[in-house]
Amino acid sequence: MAAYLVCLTADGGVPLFTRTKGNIKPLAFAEVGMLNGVQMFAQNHGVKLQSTATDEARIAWKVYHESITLIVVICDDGASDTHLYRLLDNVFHSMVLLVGLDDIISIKNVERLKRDLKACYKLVDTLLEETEFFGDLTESVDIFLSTENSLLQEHLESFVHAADSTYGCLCVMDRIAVATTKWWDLTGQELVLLSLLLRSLPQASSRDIAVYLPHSSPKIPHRLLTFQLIHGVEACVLCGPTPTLDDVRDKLLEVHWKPALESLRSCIRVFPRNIPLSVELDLGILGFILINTDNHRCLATMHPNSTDEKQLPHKILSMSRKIGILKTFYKTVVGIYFAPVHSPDKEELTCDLQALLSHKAKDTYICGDDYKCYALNDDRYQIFVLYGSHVPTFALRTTTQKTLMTLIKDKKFDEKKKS
Amino acid sequence: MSHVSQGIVVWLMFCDKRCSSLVSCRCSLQVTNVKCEPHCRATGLIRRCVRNMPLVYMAKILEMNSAAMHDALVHDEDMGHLVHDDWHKTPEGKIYFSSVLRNNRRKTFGLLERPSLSPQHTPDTLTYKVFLCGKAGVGKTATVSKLMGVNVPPVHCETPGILTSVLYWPAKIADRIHMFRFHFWDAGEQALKKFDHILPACMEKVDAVLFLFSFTDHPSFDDLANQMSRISSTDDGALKVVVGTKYDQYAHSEITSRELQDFEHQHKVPILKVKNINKARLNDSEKSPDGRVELDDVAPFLNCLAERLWYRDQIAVGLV
Repeated sequence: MAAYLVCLTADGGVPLFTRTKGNIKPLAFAEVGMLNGVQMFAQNHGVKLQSTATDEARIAWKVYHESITLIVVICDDGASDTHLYRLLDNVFHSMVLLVGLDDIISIKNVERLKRDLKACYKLVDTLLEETEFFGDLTESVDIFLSTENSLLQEHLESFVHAADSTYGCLCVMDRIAVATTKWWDLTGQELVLLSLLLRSLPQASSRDIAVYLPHSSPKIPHRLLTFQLIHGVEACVLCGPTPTLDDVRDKLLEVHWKPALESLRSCIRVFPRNIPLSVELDLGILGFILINTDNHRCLATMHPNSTDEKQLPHKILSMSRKIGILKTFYKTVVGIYFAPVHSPDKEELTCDLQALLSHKAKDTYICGDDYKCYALNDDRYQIFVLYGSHVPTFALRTTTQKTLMTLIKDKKFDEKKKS
Repeated sequence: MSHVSQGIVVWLMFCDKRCSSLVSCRCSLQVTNVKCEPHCRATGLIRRCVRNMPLVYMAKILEMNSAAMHDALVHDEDMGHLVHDDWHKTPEGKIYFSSVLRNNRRKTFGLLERPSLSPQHTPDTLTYKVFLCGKAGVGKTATVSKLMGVNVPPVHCETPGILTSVLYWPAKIADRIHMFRFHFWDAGEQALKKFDHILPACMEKVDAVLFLFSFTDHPSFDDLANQMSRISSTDDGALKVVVGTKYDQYAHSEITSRELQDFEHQHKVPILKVKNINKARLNDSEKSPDGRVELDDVAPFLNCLAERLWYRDQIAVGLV
């Protein structure tokens, strides 16, 4: 899906950067000026321009801290505007994450800010790309469940403690397997952006990156240290000026993680299922997204069944097709029928249907030519399941309910947020 | 022993490839004017001796009467004689390189992992910390990706902090096989300027500093002297190597070979060249680069680095 993203200074309209996704010609300077001009014109007349639609595309504007204007132009896929604003918010907070709020809200030198913002390009591009991850869409971080999790939690706690910090997590194939309580206390958006940052950077044995947490610490940087333990598994820790990268690597890594080597190796075997093999799911399920709206965790798999899919009675859908269907389904349901997951500082948009209704929608489903989708909205959970077309429509509801119950039996996912 | 006044006497010992015969020779050179860089002429002489014997390895320089000879040899372009560039293609080399390849793809190792080899083929591991510096956008991250044998990023992206990568490289130097463990430190130039903890972290106990410039960007070449002076206060005798990136775009080079020669001569640093492109790709889902082709591409670079670091160690412990 093609898209443009434009970032300008709010008072002067100086373009800071433009990102283009898909095979489309870059925006001309005049077009950028026009997109910004419309918004400025409205603003000068006391009108807030939020979004508009053309035959093929949707455009959304948002001004942050009266300093930065973000504009997105994206192919219309029938999704609610909530998702456009979520994208813009994520882009803005990605800028805060790597540059810091101070430099963004009080721009002293535009050229310097432009140079600094170059560090965010990869992260912003990752937000625009279609990936196998659902975190940025659901504002809940992608997680990974394995039977080794409780053992790994102990290793993580001792490692993070030794590194003089309370914030740490262990990522398996870019999904969080275990994390410290403090880490889970970060907002959904921070969790998502930190995971996204790690994914957007080139693969490395270790990293030392200064990050400004968009909600918890937007003005004072912390150091994010990451260590690749084995291929696909990374230990991350957030800390202050000490200890140095060398110190943690040389003194702590072997001590705290070497004994867990076998657990780490068996943990990674669960990929790409992302849930332990012991959890049995209905054979008609082709994939699902399960979101815990309370603690901002999102569990997704496109390989729910260990058996070869070719033996199953339905038509085979490619991996990217499954992801595409589920993402589109999510976007058409959330923001229209279901309430979106929000970070604390978000302003509610009142134009959505679900805000106008006096009751909450509980279930919804669609049937395509070669697939069926069913969504269920519980108190704390939202589950979106993709079925093969052979599954009878009347069975979707009960199967979805059963799947949800099976999955939340796992304590890790159900864990309540302590604060 | 120096019976030649104002001259240089060098004892050399050579051995042939199988170490079956040792040849020692005494080279003496009368230098009339000491100011005219005697070590260069001595180096030329050694080079000539070496060339006269087919396939020789320089084993040990027995005696030297000029301290400058150390420099001359370290910075000598004939360094390549200690290491065999095509060793990874020999049957012996293939055994060792099989530990860093999997399904024709380069393996990456986590910090808890090592290349596994059978017990009779376990060489000693030599670890070196290598720091890459150079102007923003010169290709530091791309160079590391190329050396690691992973996909080179197609467009430039500013690195927001420090990225380190561990590369295992078996090499045969002076007839002994070593497993080199290069720990590359790559830091984004903007981050380096913005946060003060980054440069000290990169320079702490560093063994080699690679100064990068791009063949298509003359200012990056002009910036080298700046980079070198910034580092020199904290370098602790680290090996310095200059690396020219984007050598694949040599046709558009903004730097003449004359400038390169002058620089090499003036600063006494070797200049290596890399082409940060992946020529052949495997037909898999990630389109990863062909491991064997990549080995051929980076072997001269990594062997040269390995050899110089090894030689630096030999000097440090007084073996040379």
